[in-house]
Amino acid sequence: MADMIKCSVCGENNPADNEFCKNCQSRLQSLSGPSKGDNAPLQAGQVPTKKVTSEGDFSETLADDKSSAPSTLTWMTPQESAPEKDGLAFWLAETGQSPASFSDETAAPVQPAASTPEASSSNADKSDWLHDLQSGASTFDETPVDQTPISSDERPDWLKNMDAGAASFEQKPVEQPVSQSQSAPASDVPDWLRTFGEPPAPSTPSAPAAPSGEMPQVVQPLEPADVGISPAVDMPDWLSSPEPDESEPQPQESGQASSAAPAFADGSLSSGDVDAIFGSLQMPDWLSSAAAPSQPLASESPPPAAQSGASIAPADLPSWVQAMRPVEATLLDTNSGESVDSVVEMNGPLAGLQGVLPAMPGGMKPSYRPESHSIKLNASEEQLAHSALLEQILAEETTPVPMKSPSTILSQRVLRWVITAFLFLFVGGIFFAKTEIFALPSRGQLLNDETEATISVMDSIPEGAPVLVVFDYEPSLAGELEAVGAPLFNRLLLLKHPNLAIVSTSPTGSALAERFMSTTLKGRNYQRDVQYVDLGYLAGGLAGVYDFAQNPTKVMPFGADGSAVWNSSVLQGKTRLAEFSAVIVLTDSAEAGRVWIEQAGPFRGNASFVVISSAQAGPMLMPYLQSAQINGLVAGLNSAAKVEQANGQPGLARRYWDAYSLGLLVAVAFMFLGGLWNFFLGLQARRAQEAK
Amino acid sequence: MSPDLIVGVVAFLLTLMIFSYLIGDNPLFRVAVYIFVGVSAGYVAAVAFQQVLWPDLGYPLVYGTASQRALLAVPLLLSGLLLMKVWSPFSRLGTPSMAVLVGVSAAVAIGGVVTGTLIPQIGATINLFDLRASTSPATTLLNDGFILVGVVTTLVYFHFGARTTADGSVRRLGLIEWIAFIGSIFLALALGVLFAGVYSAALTALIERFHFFGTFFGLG
Repeated sequence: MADMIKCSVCGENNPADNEFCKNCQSRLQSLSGPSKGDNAPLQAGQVPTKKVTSEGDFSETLADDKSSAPSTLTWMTPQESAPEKDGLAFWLAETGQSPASFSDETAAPVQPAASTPEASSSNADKSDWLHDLQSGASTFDETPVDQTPISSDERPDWLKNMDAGAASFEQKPVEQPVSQSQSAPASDVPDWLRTFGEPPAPSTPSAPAAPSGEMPQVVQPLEPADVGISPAVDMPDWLSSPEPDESEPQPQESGQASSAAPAFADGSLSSGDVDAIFGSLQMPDWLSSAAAPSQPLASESPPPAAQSGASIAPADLPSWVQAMRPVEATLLDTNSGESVDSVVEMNGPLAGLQGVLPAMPGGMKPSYRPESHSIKLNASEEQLAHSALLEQILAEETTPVPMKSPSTILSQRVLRWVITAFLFLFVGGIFFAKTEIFALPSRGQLLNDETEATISVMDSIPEGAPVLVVFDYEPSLAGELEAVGAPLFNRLLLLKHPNLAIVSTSPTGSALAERFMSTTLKGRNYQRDVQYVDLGYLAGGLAGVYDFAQNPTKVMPFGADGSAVWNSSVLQGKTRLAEFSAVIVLTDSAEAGRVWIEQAGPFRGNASFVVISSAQAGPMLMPYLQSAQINGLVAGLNSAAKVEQANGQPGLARRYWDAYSLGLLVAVAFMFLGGLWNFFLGLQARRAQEAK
Repeated sequence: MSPDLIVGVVAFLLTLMIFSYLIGDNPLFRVAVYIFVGVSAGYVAAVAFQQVLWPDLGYPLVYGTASQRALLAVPLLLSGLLLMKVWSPFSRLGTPSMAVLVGVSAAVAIGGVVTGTLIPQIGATINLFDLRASTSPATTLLNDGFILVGVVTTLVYFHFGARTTADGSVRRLGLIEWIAFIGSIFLALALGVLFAGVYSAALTALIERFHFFGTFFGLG
């Protein structure tokens, strides 16, 4: 590892004798060391040779081109180039390299800027300055190089002070002004020219400039003589060709800034110098990695502009400029073709380079047409069929459907009228005809006939016994309940002459009971408060029934008219439900009958329980008869007709029976015909579907 | 004009107005319905006051003893709170009264159903096969067996427990399906009987109206 040198740019280990990094091509050897060839330092007494560059002799250019001389020299004047120099120094100072690179400059005392205009006042002065610059360089070359080291005791005081103040100077290198007058009187070469390419070395900002002849040897290796580049010859054209626009407002800098202008104007910064500077910088990875591929590109493929004798040679471009080459340039696809790579930059710092910048941001390939993609969907026939079906469904969703209801409503209304007409015609006609076509149902036609049980219960009630009658039906079904209950009450009142106590869980029950007793049972001539009493409306629903069954006299102490019915001759001091001989419930709903069965059943004792119900509630109450929870059930006109048969006296059941029977037949006929009609409609629809 | 004639004319007109519904919803029908609802509400209010509020609340408060009045404090308070249901800002005050009503009604209903329907009906179904009181055991077994089959199959029809089959569908067991199918037949017969009863009741009411017309016009 001792023979290896680690590249300060990319970190690659290289052999010690390598001058450039094998990875990133960065300079590994310091320029302060011995150089070879043309880059060899000038020896004492050696006259600097004129180098021919692409732009020719800089001095000749200045002498011959009178028109361009003023502008060039004006640009080179310290006052106008000061911002650039100052900017460069400041930028380099930020990188941490400036204290060493500009050690001589920073060490020079500040000169007032007022002296600089004299140097650029006339062309003669400029030529002399340039002449002095060249002569100074030769004088500088005469400085002895090989000197024995001076011991610390032999060193002058200024050098000691320089060493002592080096540490403090390194911390604030840029704060020291740069002055062009810092040049040594023994040499006309500006000090800034000597600083480029020098390795980091402690500087003595406060030390006075020493003559070159008195320059200690410890400083000599750091002299700019090692650069080995003629300042006037190697200055790149891009630094000299663009003339600064004097019309543009120049920043007004102080004298310290203007004093650095000549140093930068010389263009003494060679590629190696800049590489040395950038090599020690903490460059970002992207920049260091991008520098490696850019260098071969610039060096191996000279642009056509350079080959054709243009004013700019790509090889003379500073490497730091090449290092700033956009990374995208390296990312160009090899397939991009020459259309992209063949683009030669004509202006700016990248002028003369080929294929540096992509034609479009992001490394796109403008020369290539985008790949054409077909917008036609490749779908199979099945997929197309499904798509068409989906479109059809969506279209049907949004399409208003014509309403077919008017014809349906009309047909239903017509059907309703037809049925009504038939019912009115047949039922009304036969009712008003007073026919007795249909025979009444005889007793004992059905097994376990509930009517027989009811008649038996009625016949078992003692003469004149109290009977509780519950009227729990609505006025809408009063006609049916009156027709159904009339035969049974006629039989009961006629045979047993019971005392009736009427109660109702419906507010209209009292009125219906009064109507029933005064109209339907008019023939029995039962008088209120004589043969029957009206207890009135029993509030509370099933809870009221439950409470009434437990203690009737407490729940309903007064009759509907407010009289004390429990002490009347009708009830004869009865106070409990079990003291009644029978409980007869007239109801049109199974719910009302079930409430009385469930709540009053356990408290009725030996009292008979008979339910007279509508035909629609009869089937739901039949189980209670079969479970002996009730003793009799008369449901509908059919049961009433049986009771009338048992009574032997025709009544409402007989009066209604023919119309009732014919109405049932009409209903059966309509249902049969309607079913037959639907059957044929369905058959026709099926045939039509099969035909399709 | 006698009151019976007036009542008869009004009843006749109202009957025709109700029959007008055959041609569709019309003002005559609505007027008849409004009259019926209004008269019924007024009549119910009068009955409630006359037969419930006054004898059970007003009379004891006015003419009752101190103990009777003291006992009326609780129902009076609950009634007052129940009236708060009319005004929405104070409707929550009626919640205790509603809780008492609902709780008492539910307790009474459940007790009545269990003791008055469920247990007696189960016992009745079991006792069907008591042949000691039967004179014809074969006929009794046939009839009661049919009833038992109807009861069991109908109850099984309302059993909706199912399992997920291999194909992912949720179905009942095959045996349950067959029993439920038989139960559905019994249910259809029962619903047919109920529909026949409804039609029979309506037909009887129609005939009663014809009877009224005949009586009113002297035809019947």
